[in-house]
Amino acid sequence: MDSDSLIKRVSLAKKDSKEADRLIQDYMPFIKAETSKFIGRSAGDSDDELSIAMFAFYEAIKKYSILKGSFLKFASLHIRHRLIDYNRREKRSQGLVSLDTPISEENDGLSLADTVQDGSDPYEENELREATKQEIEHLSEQLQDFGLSFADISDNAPKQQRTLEACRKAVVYAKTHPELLEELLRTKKIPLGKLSEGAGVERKTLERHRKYMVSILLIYTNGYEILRGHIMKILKGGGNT
Amino acid sequence: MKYLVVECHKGYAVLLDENASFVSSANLGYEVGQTVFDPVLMDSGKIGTNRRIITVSRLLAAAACLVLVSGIFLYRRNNAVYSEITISDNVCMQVNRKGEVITVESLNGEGEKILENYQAEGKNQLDAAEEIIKKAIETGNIQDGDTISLYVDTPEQDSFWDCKTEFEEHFRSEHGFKVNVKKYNHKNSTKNHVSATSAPASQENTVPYTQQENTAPPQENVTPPQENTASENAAPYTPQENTAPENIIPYEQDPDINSQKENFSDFNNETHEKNRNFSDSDKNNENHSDFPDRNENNENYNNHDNNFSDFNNDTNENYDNFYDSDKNNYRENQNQDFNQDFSPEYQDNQGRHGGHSR
Repeated sequence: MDSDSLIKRVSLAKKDSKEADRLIQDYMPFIKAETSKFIGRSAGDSDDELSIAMFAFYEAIKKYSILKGSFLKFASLHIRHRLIDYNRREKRSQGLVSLDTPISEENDGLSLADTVQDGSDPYEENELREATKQEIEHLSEQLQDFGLSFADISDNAPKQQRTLEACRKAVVYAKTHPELLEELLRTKKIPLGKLSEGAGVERKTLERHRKYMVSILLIYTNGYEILRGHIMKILKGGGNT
Repeated sequence: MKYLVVECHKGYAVLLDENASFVSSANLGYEVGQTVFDPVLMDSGKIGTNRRIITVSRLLAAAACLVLVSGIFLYRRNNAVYSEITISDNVCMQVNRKGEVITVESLNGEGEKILENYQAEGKNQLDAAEEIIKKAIETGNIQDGDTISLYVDTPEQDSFWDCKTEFEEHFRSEHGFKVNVKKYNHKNSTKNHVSATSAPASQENTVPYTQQENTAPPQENVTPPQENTASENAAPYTPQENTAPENIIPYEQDPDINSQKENFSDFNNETHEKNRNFSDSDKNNENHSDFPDRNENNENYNNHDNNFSDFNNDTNENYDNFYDSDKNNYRENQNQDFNQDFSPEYQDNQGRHGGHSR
């Protein structure tokens, strides 16, 4: 593949998450080679380093511009830097003992986590995870009606705390005015004018983060109790952590 | 912070954090619906935060350096001792760069009496010195009309001259005593501060400083006359009197020499004394008149009148000093061939006599 077609694919993958996945799949040998070069051995599919390298490749797709030269060199550098960061992070926790560590060689299959009583019920946890998964899948389907995916929302999510605070005010205002949520479900459009006027935030701010606002407002419609419980902080004024 | 995995891709996962923000992270084997605690997140605003922290840290470091440097500068200007002024062997003032007194200490019992109930810290050095001298007069340590010595120890020569000028201007007319400011190098002194200043200071209270300096013989300039008897030095330029040509003008009538004498009339007594010593020694040079080559040189001299007039000022000065001492030497030396070979030997001879060269 020549460099021009690669650059075209990269620019497409920037906007399309499916194209990004395809590009990552096509360049897996390159990613594995870079990882193996760094760790000094052949990288297996279960290696965390390979996952980090794939994520770094995805980051490289998102951050690449033609001004940065060859994409593969840029990606290679990015993968290397990410792996260095990951190594440093792992070194910090070197003195810690993993809960997955086996108790002894005789008791095969038993790990430290099995001996620790944390008060949680694994069956209950599995049920909760399954329920959460169903909620997320349902939300994903609803988002597809709006022509959105979580990956698009992730790209469109506010990064600055001030913007996040403005969106939070709009969500709180919508929660106290259920008619606005009903209008969203009915018309598939956010009532930006009413929200910005009622919450006292800039309409432009909400417009810029329209995708994000759709996802959060959908969570505050009926049927997403687990997700609403997870983002409880948003109603308490947002966490600055 | 807890993150909920909402979407998984091959290379990454999308997580929902507790602040209702969607973030991308590395997919370390995550499944949708799983809660994770410490994911590897995509670089976003955190880089900016780090950059801000780095920028702020750099600014703070630069500000700290600036404060440190200015602090050192202000300390050196205000609190560090720059010079020491010893007044009449009794009191020593330590002064900063601005000329303000930092500390005053007495060097002996008399100093303690003077400094009794007296605070000089923070005062200008001139005012403090004046007040201390007045207190010394009150206590009887100094009499009206005495010359008071101030020994100034400064690291730089320029600052010493500034200080000297300042003190002499201040104490010029309106006070009943004279002040003499002298350089005193504390570091080069082998004795301690008190004993090093005590000897000259005790004399200064009774004897004016200028008299003491003039009466002191310049020991190093006294040259033993025996050095001039060395034949190799005296031979080239001291021919006998009877070998001089007849057309030479007598010493007293020579207009050039008289004008040169006027020009150098301000020569000090030391120089004349040295010249006298030199001429005395030259009398012994007659013993070397039996050198045959010298008569030939005398004859050649008549053809070199022009060369003689081209001598530079330095040579003329030496020439005048040399002849001013003795008429006979004048005649003899006019017969010399004052070519270039002569000049260095002559100057070398002058140097051996401890003579001056200007």
